[in-house]
Amino acid sequence: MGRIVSIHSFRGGTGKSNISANVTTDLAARGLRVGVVDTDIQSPGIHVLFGMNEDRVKHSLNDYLWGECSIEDTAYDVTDQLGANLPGRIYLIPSSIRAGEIARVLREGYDVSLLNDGFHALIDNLNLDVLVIDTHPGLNEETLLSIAVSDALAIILRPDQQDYQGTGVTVEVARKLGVPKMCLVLNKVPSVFDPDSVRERAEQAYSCDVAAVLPHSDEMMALASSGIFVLRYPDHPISDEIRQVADQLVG
Amino acid sequence: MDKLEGLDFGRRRKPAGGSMADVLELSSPLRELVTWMMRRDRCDLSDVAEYLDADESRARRLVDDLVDRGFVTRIEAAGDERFQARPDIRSQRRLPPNLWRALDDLGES
Repeated sequence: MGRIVSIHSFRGGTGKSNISANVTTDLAARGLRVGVVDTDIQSPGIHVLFGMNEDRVKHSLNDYLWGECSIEDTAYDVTDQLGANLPGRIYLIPSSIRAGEIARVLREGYDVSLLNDGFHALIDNLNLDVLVIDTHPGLNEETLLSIAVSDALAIILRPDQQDYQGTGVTVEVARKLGVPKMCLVLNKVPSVFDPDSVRERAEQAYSCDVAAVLPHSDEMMALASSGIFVLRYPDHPISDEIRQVADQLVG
Repeated sequence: MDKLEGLDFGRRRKPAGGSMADVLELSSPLRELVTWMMRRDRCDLSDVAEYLDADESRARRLVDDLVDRGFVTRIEAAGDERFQARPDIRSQRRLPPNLWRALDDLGES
C-alpha cells in the first residue's frame, strides 16, 4: 500500500514546493512510482518546477473538487519531460492557475474530505508507491486534513523567529493528529550559521528529528524554479540533503 | 497500552460537527482512532477491533458513537458494512466581497 507524505510549513516562502518537487524526483530516481499533488489551491506553483505548460492541463485538482472529473483525469505523467531517464514515474496533479478558477474555489469552497478520497484513489488506481502532498502554508481545515492522513510529514522552516514560533504550533498539532513519522527541514540557512549547531538547537527545541539543513544557495536561486535541483546538480551538498529528507520520509 | 483506556462509552454527547478542529478536541484515544481510520481510507469492524485490541462489540459501540458525532460515515453495499473517517469540512471564504468582484472581473477578462 502506498504511503502519503506531506510537505508543510507554517509560513509561506520557505521553499516547500521546491523541496516537494526535489523529494518527488529523488524518489522516482530510486525507481518508485510517485504522485505529487498541489493542494496549495490559492497559490499553486509546483507545476512550474516540472516544466508543466498550462496548455497541457485539461483538468486540474479544482475540477475534481467540483465533481467535474475523476481524480485520475487530473494526473499528468511528467517523467519524460524532465529529460533524465528516471526509472520510476512522476504523476503531477496540478491546481488551476487560472485566476477565475482560483477565485471560484475560494469563494464557493469545496468538500475538503474529497481530497482524502482522491489521495487514496490516486494511490490505488495509479499504483503509486508514494503520494507527496504539497500543502498550503499555515493551519486550516484543509492542511489539518492533509497532515492527519499522512504517514510521514516534513515541516519546512527557515532560521527565522517567526518560523520558529509557527513551527512549534505545527509540530504540536501534528503530534495530536498522531502522524506516525515527522521530521523538520531547515531551509535557506545563511552560510554564517554552523549547520550542526542549527540542527542541534532545532532538535532540542522541538524534540523532533531534523532530516536536513539546507544552506542558502546561489545555484538554487539562479535556477529560479526552472528545473529540478537534484537533477541539475546531483553532486551538490543540497542534493545530498534532499536525499536525506527522502530517506526519512519513506525509510 | 490499552487503546480503550479513558473512553466513556455510552454517554451521549451533543454532535460535535466532525470538523478537523473538532477532531483535535477529541480525547486522545478517540482522536487516534479517527486519524488511524483516515489514513486507512475504509475499514470494517474487524479492522477496528484489531487496532483497538478489543472485541467487535466494543469496537461497534465506539464506531457507532463516532458515526453519531459526525466523524465517521457508515457505508453499506451488498450486505457489506464498512466505515470511513470522513470529517465534515468545507473550505471557507476568506476574502471580502469587493475583492471577490475584482477576481470575477479578472476571471472574465
